[in-house]
Amino acid sequence: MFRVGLAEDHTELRTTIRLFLGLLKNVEVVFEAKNGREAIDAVQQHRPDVLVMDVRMPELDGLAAARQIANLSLPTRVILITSFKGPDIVQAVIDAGAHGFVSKDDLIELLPLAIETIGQGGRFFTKE
Amino acid sequence: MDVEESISSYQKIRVLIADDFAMLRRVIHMLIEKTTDDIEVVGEALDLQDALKDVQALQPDVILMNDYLPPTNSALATKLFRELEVTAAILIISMEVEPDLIQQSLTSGANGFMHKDEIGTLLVEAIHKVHNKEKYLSPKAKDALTHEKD
Repeated sequence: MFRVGLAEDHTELRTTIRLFLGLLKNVEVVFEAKNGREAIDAVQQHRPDVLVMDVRMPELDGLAAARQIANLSLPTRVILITSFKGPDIVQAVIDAGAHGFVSKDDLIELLPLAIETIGQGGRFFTKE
Repeated sequence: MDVEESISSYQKIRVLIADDFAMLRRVIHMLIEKTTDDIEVVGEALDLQDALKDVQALQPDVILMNDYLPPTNSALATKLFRELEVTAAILIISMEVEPDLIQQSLTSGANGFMHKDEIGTLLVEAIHKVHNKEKYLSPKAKDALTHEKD
C-alpha cells in the first residue's frame, strides 16, 4: 500500500483525483494540500511514500516546493502533474528533484503506474 | 446474451452522467462499474445539448447532472427537462452546496442534490434513492439548508 499526498489548487480536480485514487487497491490518500507551502508542511507531518503535486499553484508552486522537499531528506518521492506541454517542463521537473512527471491529460491512464513505479524507488517521465 | 443476462441487464438502473469535466465523468463511470452491479452508465454528456440528445436516445432512469451544464445551471436545465416531459430522476452533483441552488433545483424538478466530495461514499445510495422516487439530500446539502434557516 502506498501512502500518497495530493497537492492541487483546483478544488474540483483535487476532488476528482482523490476519488480516482480511492478506486485503487494499493493507494491510500493521507492528505490534501492547496498549494506548495501546505504540501511541504503536510509532507513533514505525514511523510507519505509519494506526493502527487501540481506544477502551477499559488503561494509556492510545485517546482519550488519539490526543490524544498528534496532538501528535507525525507523518504517522500514526488510526481509533478501539469497541463503544460513540451520538453522544457520535463527538464524543469527533473531539475527540481522530482522523481516523475505525468501530464494532466493522462492522469487516469498513467498516474497509477507512476505511483507504483516511483513508490518502489523508480522514476517515471512521460515523453512530452 | 442469454435470457438470464438479458433480464439482469434490463433490471439495471440506467444512468446518464452529464458533466462538463471529462475526467470526473470517467472517474464516476469507473466508480459505478467497480462498486455496484445493479447500476449501468449508459452515456456521458458534456453539455446541455449533448444531454438532451442522449436522454432522447438512451432513455436513462437517472440523470447525474453537474450544477453547471453549459450553457446553463442545473435548475434551468432541470426545468427544461421537465417541460420536455423527461421522467428520469435527476440527481445534481456540485462542488458547492448553495442553499438557493439546491432549492431552485428541487423546485424545478430535481430529485436529489449532493456535494462532489460525497460521491465516493454516497453516490450509489443516492442513485438508488432517486430511482425509487425518493428525494435525496446528502448530509452536506442538508446542512446547507439547515444553516440557511438558522
